Amino acid sequence: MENKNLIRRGNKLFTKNLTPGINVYGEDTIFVDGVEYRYWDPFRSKLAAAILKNLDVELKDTDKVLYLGAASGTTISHVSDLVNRGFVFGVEISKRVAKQLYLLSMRRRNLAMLLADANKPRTYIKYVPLVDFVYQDVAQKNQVEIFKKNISLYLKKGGLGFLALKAKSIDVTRKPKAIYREVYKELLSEFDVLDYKVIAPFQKDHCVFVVQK
Amino acid sequence: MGIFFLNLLKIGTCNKFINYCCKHKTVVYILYSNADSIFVFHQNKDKLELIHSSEIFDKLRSLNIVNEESINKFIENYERKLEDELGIGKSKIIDISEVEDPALINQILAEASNRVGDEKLFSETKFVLERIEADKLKRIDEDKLIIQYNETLDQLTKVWNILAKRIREFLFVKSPELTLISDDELLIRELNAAPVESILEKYKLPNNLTINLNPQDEEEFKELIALAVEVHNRLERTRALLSEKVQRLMPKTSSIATPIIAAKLLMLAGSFEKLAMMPSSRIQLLGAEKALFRYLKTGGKLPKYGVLFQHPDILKSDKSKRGKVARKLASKISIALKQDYFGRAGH
Repeated sequence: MENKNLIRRGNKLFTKNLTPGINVYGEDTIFVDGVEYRYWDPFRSKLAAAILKNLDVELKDTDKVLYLGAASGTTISHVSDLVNRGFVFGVEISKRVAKQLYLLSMRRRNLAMLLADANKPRTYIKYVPLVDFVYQDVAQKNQVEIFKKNISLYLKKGGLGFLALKAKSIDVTRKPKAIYREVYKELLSEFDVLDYKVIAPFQKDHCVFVVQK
Repeated sequence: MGIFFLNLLKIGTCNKFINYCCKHKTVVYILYSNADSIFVFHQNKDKLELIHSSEIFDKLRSLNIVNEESINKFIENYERKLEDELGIGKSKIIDISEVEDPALINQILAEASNRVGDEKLFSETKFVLERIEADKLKRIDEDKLIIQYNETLDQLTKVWNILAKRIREFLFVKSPELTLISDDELLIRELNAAPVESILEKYKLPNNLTINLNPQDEEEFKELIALAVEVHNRLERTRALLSEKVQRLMPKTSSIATPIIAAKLLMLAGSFEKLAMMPSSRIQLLGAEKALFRYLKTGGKLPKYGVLFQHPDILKSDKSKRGKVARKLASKISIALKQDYFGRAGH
């Protein structure tokens, strides 16, 4: 992925810190030409893992992102770093972690959070505009359905959707590979599937997909 | 035909009306509001027209309290204004969330952000969301509090057990005879209340191995006991508060399942809503997830019960009947939960 706020050092990823001097979850920081960068751990973030696996995905400096399943804000803080001049809307259903996310959003000018159920995308229609990028990491049984619903409402034509699929939350008893194949076909029936990658060894039984509307 | 469908709208089958209008492109107005403005769109022969819009953000910002209620008030006022000025009645307006066609919603969202401008819209949305979401986050959930207390109770119990074990080990140095008292609570409360010699006398225990440690070690031992007693007192108070709270939130369930098990079920389900929606078969196996998935993966025996195992009805029933008792109990609990959930005040 090419993005001017993202740099690589060997096989380590770093994002340019939007809030210099403040880190989010105790991650390391480095300075390059006097600018602070935060280390992006592929074992904690599926997007970082996917980028290290050379996933073909484009996230521009000015993109507007809808992020479903933001949790306490580990990955979303890096997405907010990447889309420096864009905007990120984070949706999270659990109050406990949403409070952490809220505190994060207070510190970042391009991040807003919503306490809402991604399975009911129409409940946040007042506050989410059309976006260029939909990122989803929700670990629900109907995660593909949720992905499709949100894309159909909020993604611009030509925009990208990123789905982090957790095979174990669809069916623990089946082989992950069979589930990946099924989901691939299901996505292909509605979108162009640009790329997909299994992100082992960073995450077990996860596959990420990039689709274009 | 139109009047017929308007009547349908009033009695609540509005979706049919919307479907009809969207299909046949009859007069229907779509209301969309974002942080900046309220918009009214009208779809005519596949063309989307903006009929009217009204800015609300400046008014919102001047308010002391921005919440969903104040925004809804603006929308209500606006609807009244529409009826007075443009003659568009409430029955002709549908909310954007009721529009079925995602492509149409897409179009409306695009049109609205074009009019406001991205940068302005985002900063305004952030302002409004920061207030609305803080409001939502500040609401207290009684079920989440119960889960907190339950986990506190679990952890305090662990702390108590560790301390009791430590004190027993200590006693093997100081007074091994006392370890013949097998009840931890009794032993530690006695130790806290009286010196070792008088306890030995009271329980008619031999006094052959008891020694006196040097003052520093005696002090250490006493403080350890005081700590254990304090933990136990705390434990009992938390348990009483928990069972009182559970009985208030789910009176029927706790009378069937006992407050402690009701609280455990709540903890395992994650929230009252989730638990109330659960089928009784899942309630029966809550707490036996590990055994259930082992069964699903490798076969073997299907578990009969999870936390329900601690229920007196199951404990005292015949071993061959326990599965059946658990099943019946779970189904009764599931009914009681639904009564409690949907019958609670303010629902």
